[in-house]
Amino acid sequence: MVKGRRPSGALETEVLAALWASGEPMTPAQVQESLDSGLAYTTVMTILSRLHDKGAVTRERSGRAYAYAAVLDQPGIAAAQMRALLDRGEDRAAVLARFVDGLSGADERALVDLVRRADTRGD
Amino acid sequence: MRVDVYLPLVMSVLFGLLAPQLARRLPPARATWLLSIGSVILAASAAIALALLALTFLGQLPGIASFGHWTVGALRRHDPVHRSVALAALVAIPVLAALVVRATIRRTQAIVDAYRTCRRLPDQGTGLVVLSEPGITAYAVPGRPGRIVVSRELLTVLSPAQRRVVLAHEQAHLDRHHYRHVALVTVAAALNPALFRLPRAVVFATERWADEAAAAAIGNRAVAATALARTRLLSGSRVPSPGCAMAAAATHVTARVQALLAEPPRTRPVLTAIVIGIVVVAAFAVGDASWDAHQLFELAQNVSYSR
Repeated sequence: MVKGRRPSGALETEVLAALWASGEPMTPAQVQESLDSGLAYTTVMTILSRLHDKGAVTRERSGRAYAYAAVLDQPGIAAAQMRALLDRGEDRAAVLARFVDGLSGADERALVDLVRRADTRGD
Repeated sequence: MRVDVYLPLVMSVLFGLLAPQLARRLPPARATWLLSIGSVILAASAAIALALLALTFLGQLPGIASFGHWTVGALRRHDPVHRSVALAALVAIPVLAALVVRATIRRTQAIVDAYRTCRRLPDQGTGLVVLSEPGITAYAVPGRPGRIVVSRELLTVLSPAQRRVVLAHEQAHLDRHHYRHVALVTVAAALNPALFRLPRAVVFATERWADEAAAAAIGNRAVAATALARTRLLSGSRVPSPGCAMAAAATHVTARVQALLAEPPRTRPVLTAIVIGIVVVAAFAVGDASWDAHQLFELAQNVSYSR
């Protein structure tokens, strides 16, 4: 897979998202594997320790390496903030750029066909 | 003034009709810029044109005429604008002014609220906010710094590459300040109802822009397409979050997936030139109409001085 250089902020976000997705503490090697993006082990290490410095992840000894986990902040705070913002009306929702919208359920079939086509080409 | 003054209105209608097609055919970054800046120029031109039309009527009111030192009779003799047209313009101006003020206030409040929410969100120095609640959702909240909000459920169901697509897509929205384009065009459409299809078209263009940016970031357009389609299918008909009656911002996921599966967008120089042409014609026409109106009033003044 051809890939351009990505800014370190994007890499941090990616690693953090991988930790969130796993839900369990992971060693740098496990993170590297779960990223599946050809990042070097040392790069993953650097990013994990940077995230740890920022307090975004916690770590505990696991054999010879550290195992890292995403920090759960007080549950629901972020969700409550977002809900409060969105409840204040349509204009608030319109400012957020949503990845997909909840409209036009009719073309679901077309989407399924497209995914099938895409899966045979890429991935 | 006979023709020029109506051209901004005609061009706005044309622009409004073409907008959805332009958003699909032009390269997305260019579409976003052309449609948003074009809307602002067209809305301003049409507003000035309306003001000129209204002025020809107002100038014939005796009080205003004596204040401006021109004669009502001379103005009426040379006035190329039908009285009913001028009156219609006069009625439209306060209505549109009220609409544009309302749209500006609402949109500004919404952006301020988004910034404020970003400050309140837990900060882990990464800009990523993960919601533990059930549900499939992902969006960008503009702020300083802006945040990418994703639900944990979405992160767990996507493949690593698809996860990167979602993150890169939302990051592109934040990096390129897409909300500004959408806000500008929303206000422009309030001032000029002929542009009513523009906000939707620009939202679509910004989504396409972020899609292409994400595809470029991971170097695979087909994976970007699958990520998008899977997220849409998984979110199903479930409403992703409250208050999302984004009728004005309906983005067609299917069209976006198709675009990612097709060839990369072409540069479309001819279409670009046509769009710029429409906007330039409107701007020049309103400039010319203003000059004509100036001369009309000057003529009426000279008549009064020569008496």
